[in-house]
Amino acid sequence: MSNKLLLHHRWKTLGWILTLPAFVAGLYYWFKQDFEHLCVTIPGWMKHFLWIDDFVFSNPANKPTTLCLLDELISISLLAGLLLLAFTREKVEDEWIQRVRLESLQWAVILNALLLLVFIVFIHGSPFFTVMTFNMFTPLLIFVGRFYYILRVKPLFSNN
Amino acid sequence: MKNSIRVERAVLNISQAELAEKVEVSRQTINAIELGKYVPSTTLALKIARVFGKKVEDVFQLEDGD
Repeated sequence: MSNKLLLHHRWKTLGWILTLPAFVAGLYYWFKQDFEHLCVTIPGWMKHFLWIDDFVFSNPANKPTTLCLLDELISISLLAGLLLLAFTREKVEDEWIQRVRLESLQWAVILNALLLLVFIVFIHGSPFFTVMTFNMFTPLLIFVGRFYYILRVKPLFSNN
Repeated sequence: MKNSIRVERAVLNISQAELAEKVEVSRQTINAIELGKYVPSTTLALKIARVFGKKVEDVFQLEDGD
């Protein structure tokens, strides 16, 4: 991966700050099956900028509608955080780490596609929405997981 | 490919971390090279050989499977 595409090392802390709480909150609210929090009222004229169900098409009188922001906030935080974690430089960004980065990216794409294949076969109808929800995050999650496993966890098990 | 980095390190009595610092890579890279898990680039191989005061071919040798 080209060095030019990587952000400076100092962004990594922000990456963790965005990812970890969002990850925990996301799982928590998902298990509760309740994302109806932090709701705001959207005025009618915003229908030109936001696409929310019938708010856009069946709303000639420009009636307002409600939008609950919790899931959006968690998703944005998680995605932005994972992006930062994935594409910031390590302190020493050398050739071996670039190799690990490439391999982890390959893992992430292949594993994600294979998992999706399996789920498409076995899950149908409404529950598939859950698959799609998780699938938004799994490529980056697998990449970050594998990358940091090789860099931080695996050396602890080696006898060197 | 085999290498004699570990032996050469012992001759100079330096650790993986010290060698890594001299050639400006991370310690894990040196570890991966020693274990045969990673083949260094030409530049890095030349730098490592230079630290040991040897030619590249004296530190790295091709094996049959390469």
